[in-house]
Amino acid sequence: MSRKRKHPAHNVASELLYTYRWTFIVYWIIFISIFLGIAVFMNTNMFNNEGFDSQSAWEGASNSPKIFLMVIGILLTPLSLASFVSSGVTRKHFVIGGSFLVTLISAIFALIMTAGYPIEQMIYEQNNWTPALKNPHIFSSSDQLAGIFFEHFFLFFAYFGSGWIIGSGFARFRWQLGAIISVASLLPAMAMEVVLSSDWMGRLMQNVFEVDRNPIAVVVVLAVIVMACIVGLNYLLLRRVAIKKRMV
Amino acid sequence: MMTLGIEVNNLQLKYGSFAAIKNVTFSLAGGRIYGLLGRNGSGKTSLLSILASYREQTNGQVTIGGEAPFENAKIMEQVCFIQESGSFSDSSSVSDVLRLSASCWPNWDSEYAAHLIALYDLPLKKLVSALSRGMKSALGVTIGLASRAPVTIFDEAYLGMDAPSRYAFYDELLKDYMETPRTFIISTHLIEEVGSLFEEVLILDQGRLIMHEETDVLKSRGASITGSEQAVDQITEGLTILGQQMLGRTKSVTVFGELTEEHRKHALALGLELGPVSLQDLFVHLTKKEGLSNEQKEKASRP
Amino acid sequence: MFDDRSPIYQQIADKIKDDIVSGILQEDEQVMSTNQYAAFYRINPATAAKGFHLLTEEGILYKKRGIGMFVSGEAKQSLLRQRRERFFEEVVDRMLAEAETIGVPISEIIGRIEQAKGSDE
Repeated sequence: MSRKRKHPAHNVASELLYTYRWTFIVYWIIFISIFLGIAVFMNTNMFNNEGFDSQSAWEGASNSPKIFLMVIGILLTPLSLASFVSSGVTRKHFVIGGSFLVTLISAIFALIMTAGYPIEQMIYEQNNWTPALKNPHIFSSSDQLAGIFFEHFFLFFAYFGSGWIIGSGFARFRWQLGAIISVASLLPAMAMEVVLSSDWMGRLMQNVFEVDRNPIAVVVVLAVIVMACIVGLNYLLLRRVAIKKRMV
Repeated sequence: MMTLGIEVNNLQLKYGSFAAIKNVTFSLAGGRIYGLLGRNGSGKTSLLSILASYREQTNGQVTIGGEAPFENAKIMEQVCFIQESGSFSDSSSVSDVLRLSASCWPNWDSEYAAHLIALYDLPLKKLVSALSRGMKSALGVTIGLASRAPVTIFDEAYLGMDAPSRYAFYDELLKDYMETPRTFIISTHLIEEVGSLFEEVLILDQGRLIMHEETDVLKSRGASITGSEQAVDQITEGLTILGQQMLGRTKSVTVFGELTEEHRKHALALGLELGPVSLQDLFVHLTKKEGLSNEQKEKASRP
Repeated sequence: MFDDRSPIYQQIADKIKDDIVSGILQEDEQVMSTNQYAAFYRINPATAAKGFHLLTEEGILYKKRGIGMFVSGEAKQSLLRQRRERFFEEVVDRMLAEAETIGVPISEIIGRIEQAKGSDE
């Protein structure tokens, strides 16, 4: 009975993707429907006067997928770890496979967010507005697609991963400690926000550390370090965790 | 198919200050059916959880196929542990659970799984949370058998099933064991029903292993002696007495240990009735609270 | 199925012996395999094998490599001889002992036997 088998970590990633496929799809259907509604509403020209603040609506939209991914992250360990370990999968392969899922989903979500900016720009241009970005970013206009993608990818990864650590913390410790861990688990997400505030980072790197080079490269390196910390922390929490009847 | 042997050496498991497993040592040859008996709270599930890498021991060594199992991918994918309540996610459907199992177990036999699904009438579309206790058990049994894992462990896995389903399970287990030999460990309360399937029996009591013996040998070491009080007392002097009952002047004693031919002749001469003791009775006597002292248990466990 | 009175392998051996004596199993006939026995009686195959082992040691069964177990030629005769010996020990002697305890004279027993034999004919 020799069959070609996927690597266990690969198997974990594809099984998790299979489990959550409809959750992700339905989420985006709802999310995009809401924004399409807003776009249609704007195109009725009801607000077509010169006094309208032409701020980007899509810019603020990224908060919703961040929180959504964090919730999915919280559920990851309590809902799935026992199933995998009881199917003979090591905790290590669960963490690796889960990290693949977090990476893949963050990338897909970031792609959707990135695609939204040029579409928004198109809609705004039809109304003779220019979408203005209110918050600091590693990109400065709606057409720097690579910057937009990576910023969203890093943020989504951080929020998804932080949620995962919260869930793992509850599985690893009693709920009292889990509650404390859950507060600490927000640190990676906050760290990523700090890292990605490019103007703030740029100033810090130049003034404090006297590093004078393209801050984007530094941002990417720091972001990757935060991502690695998230994966490492999860592995530390789950490495020896006992499988119980109720994981939380 | 290869079978895996299991070596356990001075195993200890503590939950905080409570010792669930105390210095347990045994060795199981691969390719046999083992019965693990013990009262509630005797440490059966704790011991099996360590074998299945659900938990890591506090002290001591476990090897399966010569390697430590915990977080060892090569060993973990060969040890399938099925618990009564199952470890499946409640929000999954039965078919999702089967899909996951099929993707994870290297020796998964989907034809055999389909046969068992039909046998137990498993509702594929139902959520695990909506299954009856019996159906949950049937799902667990299906996964354990179809996994064809070289070490397959059932921890009271079929307790929720009704008698016909349980007997169907025993038949399937035996059939599959003879077709593709593997190591089975079965923990159970239903000794009368399933005892004859065990080649060897292990008995845990309060976290200690008090017995590890071939089933037939263990049974041959128990005997009941019935007759007049005086005669019974005379013959049982120096023997390990597990239990005794009086009915008027008639005394019935359960003894443990090899009865010599001399004992037998003597007993017959005194007009005593000698009889065997069932596995269930032996288990009850060996693990009852006021049964053996720990010292006696230690002595009894030595072959 | 099986009682708890004696080890299961002993009971399996006894069953096969019964079948040979009563003629259900003939000389040089193949016996069911240990696996078939195990499945039929829902017992561990090793237990069934033990019963078979007992019978080969006694010369009741013989093994053909790769085929299975067969009833040996002298099996029925030797079993009958054994049973005959056991009959007097276990049935006749015991009956006489019991008769003495309850005060039944031997002549009465013989009378009863002849009566039973007579009604048979």
